[in-house]
Amino acid sequence: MTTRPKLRLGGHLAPGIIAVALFVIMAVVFVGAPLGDPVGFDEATAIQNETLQSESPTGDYGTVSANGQTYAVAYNGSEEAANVSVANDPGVGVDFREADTTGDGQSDTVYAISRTSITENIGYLMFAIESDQRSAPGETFLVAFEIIDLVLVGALVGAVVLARRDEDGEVVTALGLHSSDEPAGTSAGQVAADGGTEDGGDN
Amino acid sequence: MAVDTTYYLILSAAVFCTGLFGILTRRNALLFLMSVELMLNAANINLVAFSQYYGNLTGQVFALFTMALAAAEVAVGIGIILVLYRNFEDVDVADAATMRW
Amino acid sequence: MAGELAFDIAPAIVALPFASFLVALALGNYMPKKGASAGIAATAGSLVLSLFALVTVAGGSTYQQDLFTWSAAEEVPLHFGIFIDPLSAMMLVIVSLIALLVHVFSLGYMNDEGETGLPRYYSELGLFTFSMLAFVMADNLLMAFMFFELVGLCSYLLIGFWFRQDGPPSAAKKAFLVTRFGDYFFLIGVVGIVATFGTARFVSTDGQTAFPVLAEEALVEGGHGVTTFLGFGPEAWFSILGLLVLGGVIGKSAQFPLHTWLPDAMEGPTPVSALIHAATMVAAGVYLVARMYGFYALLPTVLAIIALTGGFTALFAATMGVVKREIKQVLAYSTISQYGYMMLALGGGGYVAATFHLMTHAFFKALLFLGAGSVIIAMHHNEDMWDMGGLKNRMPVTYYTFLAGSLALAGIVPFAGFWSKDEVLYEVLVHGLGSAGTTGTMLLAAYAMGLVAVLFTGFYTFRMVFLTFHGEPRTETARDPEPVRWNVKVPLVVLGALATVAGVVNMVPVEKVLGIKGIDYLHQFLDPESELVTNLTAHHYGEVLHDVSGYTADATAFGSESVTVLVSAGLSLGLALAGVGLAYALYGRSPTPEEHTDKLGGLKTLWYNNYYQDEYQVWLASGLTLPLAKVADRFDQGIIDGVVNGVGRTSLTGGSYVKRIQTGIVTNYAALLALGLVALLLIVGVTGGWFA
Repeated sequence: MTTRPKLRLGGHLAPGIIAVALFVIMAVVFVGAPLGDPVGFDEATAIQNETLQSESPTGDYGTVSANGQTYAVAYNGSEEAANVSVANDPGVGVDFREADTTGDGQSDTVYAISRTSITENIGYLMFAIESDQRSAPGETFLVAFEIIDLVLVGALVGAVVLARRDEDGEVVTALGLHSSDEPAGTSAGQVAADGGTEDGGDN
Repeated sequence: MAVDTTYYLILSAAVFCTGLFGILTRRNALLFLMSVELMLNAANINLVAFSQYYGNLTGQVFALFTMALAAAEVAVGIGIILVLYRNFEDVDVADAATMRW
Repeated sequence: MAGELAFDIAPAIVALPFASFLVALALGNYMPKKGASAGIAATAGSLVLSLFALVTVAGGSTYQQDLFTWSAAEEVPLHFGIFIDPLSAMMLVIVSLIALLVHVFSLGYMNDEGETGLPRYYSELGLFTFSMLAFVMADNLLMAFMFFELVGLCSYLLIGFWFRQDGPPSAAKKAFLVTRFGDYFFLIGVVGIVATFGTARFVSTDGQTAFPVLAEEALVEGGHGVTTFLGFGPEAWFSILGLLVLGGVIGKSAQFPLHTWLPDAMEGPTPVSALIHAATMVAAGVYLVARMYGFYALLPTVLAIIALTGGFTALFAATMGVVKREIKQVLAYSTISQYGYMMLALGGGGYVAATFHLMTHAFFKALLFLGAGSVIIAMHHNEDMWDMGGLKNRMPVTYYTFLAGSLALAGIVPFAGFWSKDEVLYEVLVHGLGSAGTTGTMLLAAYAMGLVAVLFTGFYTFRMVFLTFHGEPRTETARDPEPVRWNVKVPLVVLGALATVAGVVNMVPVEKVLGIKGIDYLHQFLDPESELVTNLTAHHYGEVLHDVSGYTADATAFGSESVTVLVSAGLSLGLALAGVGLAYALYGRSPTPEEHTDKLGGLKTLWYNNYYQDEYQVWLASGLTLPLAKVADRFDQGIIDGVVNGVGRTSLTGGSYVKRIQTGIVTNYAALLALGLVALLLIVGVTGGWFA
């Protein structure tokens, strides 16, 4: 007969009300919180680049590669308004954004954006690598990384130690390097709180 | 284009409270561990959300560290559950109540 | 210079008895004579060094040295130091001499009688001697106070030496408590003096001026450098300080009304009584007044109180001595009475007279006590004089020395006591006649009491002598007394000689009447010309008394000075002889005297019961202090302790309920944690306006 999980209702769920209440409070607070628009990562990098003014909001734009350089080009009507070098690396992606700077509801500015990927930026930050390609602000975390390293090793060792136990005077480790001669459970006895048997484990 | 930060926060609150709910209503230690993971990851959601909000990558990097710590925590937690099982023949957290008054 | 040597080794005077205390305490049981030899050696050493110091001081040099500063506070440095001037040098000799003789006598009184606990006895004697010598040498009031207290402690220990009997422990406690009652005021006085003058030195040094000098400057030139308290002017405040210190003096020197401990102190071994009464404990009080006489001399009110207290005590105690049955009781009351004379002299402006009487009294009272001890040995520790009689022929050495002491005590010419007592009365008389206003009247009243006491003194002294030594033996023991050995007789003979001739050091009446100049050796001695002690001379005291306190000596009230001297001496000698004669008529003529004091009727009962002083003091304690203490106790137990216990019980009960929150189940902790977070969020949110 197959079993399936059942939702067990009852009094034991009563403390959950606290969790629900907490959620309600937090949701109310969050909804009411005066959070503005997120800065995001693209805009932050755009400032570092040249901006291309476009008189026509309907202007077109694109990239042109020439002489190993990538150019961002914006068109104003039929005319090429300006171009600018955005990166030496041909692999860098270039995005274009429109923005409304005058507040009349119409896009009037076009940005050409060189964007290094966020993941790549994380790599630079985490290992404290200095690079021209790093485009997002943030702190470096090399020391923290090393510490977490050690913590993980410690946790691993701890887990293995916790998993070790005394069984009939025989140390049984989690890695199973020692095996008991006797079949398990023949004289397990009462297990004491320290993981040994109640009678000291040497009988 | 970007998702409003408020939604991230509400998501994270929901995940956190789900974890809390689990801790408050469940007695199985393994489920406890899972619930704790949920709460931890709710914190991660917040970290990433605010990283986006401030345009600063620190939050995202930190979330990575939190995951690493969560792994360590699970390793120790599972070890404790093993000892719990060995001592009480069960993984019911209510059994391990000997260190009270 | 030899003088410096004597002073350099002066600390050894004090150190030797202390060493003997330690030796007797630690090794007494293994020593021959159970520690007595250490004590005798130490006190003999002290005596030799003291005599050396005395000779050096007589050569005109004095000495003051800080030994150890134990609180170097900038404002009020507190220190131990020694100060040797004529007064302290004389006292050192007296104390070490009496202590030595008492040690020797103890061989006969304690060792030969087979007492147990002798190492304890001799170590306590050593400590007693040490304390008194250090007290005498003290160069500041605080150090004096400390050793004053130590003297009290030692007398407590020694009075209670036979602690397995009923009487001694109770007497010891009484002595301790009564003197402590006085010392309590003394302590406040010391603190007050230090707070007022910023120093407690008796003698000015390069760094600091002595407090009597400061007080004098403050009174003569208007207050500067002193701080008075409670809004009193300098004179009133100094009087209060003087009276506070006087409290300790009255307790220690057994003056009315704190004299009640002294007769009970007779429960101690007799040599201890001799030491206490002649040289140490009781003398400490009078010595203290003499030591800081420069301060008291400024305060006419306090002086008048001292004189009245002394005169009254002299008479009061003498009347009680008349009816006592035990030989030591008579001596106890005579001690109180004689110290009354010393206080009378101090209050009456007779600084030298008081010192003189202190010295002669030390000799003859030690002699009388040791003589009484000898009699007590002979009588197998029966002290009742009515069981004695006729001991004259059976113990002649004791008799003749005792007789010398008695004549001195009664004040019969030419024994030591006559000269000193006569000078006491003379000084009080001339100052009383010469001073104007209330001071003179009060001094004359005190003089009158002192004069009447002379009659009683003569009577009770010779009643004691006749009952003890004359007539027919009244008991078997008295017929066949136990013989005493050399160690009893030698001290008696030494003291007997001193009691007979010690008066020659200061035969002022002879000088004045016959006009022989320069035989008032003690006057000259106490008037040194050393730079260090210009403010501590008898001459200076006389000037201060006259200028500040308005004491004037009128020696020519009865014509000329020699007539006054003769009148005064004749009065006191006549009264003393009258007392002796009365005693002879009543007790000396008949070989089997009757208890004539019975004829006094109710007066005898009153005197025999010490004017019911003990009863009223016991009533004060049980009728007044005890209920107060009970109320305080109830307050303490009920309210103070009640609050404390209540707090404890409340937290205990509360804790036993609150601890149930600690279920040990992790879910509950998590629930509480979450609940707390919810509550916190709500509070912060509502106050911070998050829900607006």
